[in-house]
Amino acid sequence: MTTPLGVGILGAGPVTQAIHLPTLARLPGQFRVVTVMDIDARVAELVAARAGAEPTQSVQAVLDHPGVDVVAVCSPHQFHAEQVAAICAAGKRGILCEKPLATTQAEAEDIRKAVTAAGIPLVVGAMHAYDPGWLAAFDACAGWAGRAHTIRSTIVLPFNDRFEDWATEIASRPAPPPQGAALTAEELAGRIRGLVLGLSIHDLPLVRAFAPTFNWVDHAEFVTPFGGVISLTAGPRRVELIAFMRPVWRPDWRLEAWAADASLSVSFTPSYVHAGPASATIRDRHGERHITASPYNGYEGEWRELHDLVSGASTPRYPLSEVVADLRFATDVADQAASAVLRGVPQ
Amino acid sequence: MTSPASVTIAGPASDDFTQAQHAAWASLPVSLTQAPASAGLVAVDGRSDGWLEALEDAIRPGPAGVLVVRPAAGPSAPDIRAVAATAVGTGTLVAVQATWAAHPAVPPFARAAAERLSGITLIDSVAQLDGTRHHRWADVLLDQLALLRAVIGPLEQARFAVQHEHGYTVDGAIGAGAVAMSAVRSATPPQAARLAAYGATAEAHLIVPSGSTTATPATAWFVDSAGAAMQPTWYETASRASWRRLHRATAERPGEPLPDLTDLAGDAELVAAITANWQARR
Repeated sequence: MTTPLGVGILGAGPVTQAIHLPTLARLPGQFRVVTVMDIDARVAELVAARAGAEPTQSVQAVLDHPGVDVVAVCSPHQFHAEQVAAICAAGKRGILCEKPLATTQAEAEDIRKAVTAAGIPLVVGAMHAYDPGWLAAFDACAGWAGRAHTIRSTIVLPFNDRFEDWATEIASRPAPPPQGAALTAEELAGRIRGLVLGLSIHDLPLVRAFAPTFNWVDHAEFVTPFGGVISLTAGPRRVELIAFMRPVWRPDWRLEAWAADASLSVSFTPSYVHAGPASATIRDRHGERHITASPYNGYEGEWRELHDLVSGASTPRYPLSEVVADLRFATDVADQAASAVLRGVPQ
Repeated sequence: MTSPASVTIAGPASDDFTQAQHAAWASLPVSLTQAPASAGLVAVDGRSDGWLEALEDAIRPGPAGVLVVRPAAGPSAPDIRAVAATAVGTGTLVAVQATWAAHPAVPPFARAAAERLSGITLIDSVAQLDGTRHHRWADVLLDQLALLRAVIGPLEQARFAVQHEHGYTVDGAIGAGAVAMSAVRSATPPQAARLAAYGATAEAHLIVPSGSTTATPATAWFVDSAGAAMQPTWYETASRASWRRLHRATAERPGEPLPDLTDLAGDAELVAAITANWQARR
């Protein structure tokens, strides 16, 4: 029996509390949480205690901890690049970085260099990319995926607190953004950039499975209270991104792709809840097939992948070059969508 | 109970169209009887060339009502309004049977949506089309706009529109609500139009099967804080429902114009503006 890998966690907000700690608790043979860092000492103590780990307010303390083999980066987006580089320099064995990996392409390039130099595995917390339902569905439609002409990502969810509270007992959560005030064009552009990098980004790696690159954002529009409609031209393909959070309880999280002779519809469970895997339906000339997959979710899939990579049991499902390309795609969409909003419509 | 009305077909019509009308009439044997000459109610094939002229010719003798089935895009809004004026002059009621909007589930769905939804900020609609058949995107768009109008209201702004070999995208607005409309063509089912409207505290979802001769029910449901509620199913074809509607209107409100042609003219105007824009785009 192998020794579980020691985990250090940077950032102890709702993602750590509701997603990673419950997931790691299901993988006791592979991981053991050693230390939890948060800038808020009280939060660090509360969250670390849940895992029997040491609390700290210091990133460096996590990096210097001899019991930490792998580090989960769950801090605010703007710290991801700097912290991933520091983890690489500290000689740790692996990284799980929450999405987005970075917020700019320059940061992504810094990460690529640091991870390449360190030669350690990096898994980005895009959970659907590791969801066994999605993986089985895409395997089943790989033969026609290149012929897909329309790809549609629909993410309609209630606000996060509804689901966070079903996954754990949240110790603290950041204040929600103010609602109701009229937004300037710059604020709208910032919101839609945040929408892409915070919500749409979940499925952009999946969109890239059908449309690896895109030419331009044709149209982008912010939708209140927090959502947007974004249309892309991707060579001969159309990509539609609908992302929308509102107070109504019902989640509807789907990825759809259509080719002339086949189509795919994947339905995902909401964030935070541990209810996966995704379910999928493929329709083609043979009829309709429903995809069933192993009964674990994408969060668990991320950690399983990291364990297998660190232990040398597998090669990366997504090479570093693809991870960086995913981020480039996302930041390009975010930047162009923000520009489209700033310019106003119609373009 | 209303008295039976005589029915016939006027103008050019395809075999499929003729067969569909006969099937609908046969299902309403008490209300409708075939009478090739001097019929009170007349059917016009909207997918035939020159359907607007055929409609005008059908109106001129002054029948009680005319049903235009699945009118194709092409005739201009002013021309449609001129025909509507002619119909007012002869006292003829003109009903339009659009592909999805005429489904019998749509009117009760629209009424319930109006009651339950306020502060709509997003409307999302996708038309999934039979990929084995040719489709004129302008025709599909006209049908999708008719559904949008029937459920929520007419599209007020088209901000972006693009067509491609397998479909189109139109992004626009109704009031403060963003509208995302797409059509996609694939050989795989379901062939249907779906529409979701998201309000501040409730939302409405509708999936309408394509095809005027299928009695496949639409699927319609509402979501609010109490849960989700399905609308009762209607196993009735759009064709039969349209004939019943026209028959009832001519019997109960003779000479009182239906809004259908005016609405069609509004949607034709939108289609003309949108397709001119997307054709210029690429």
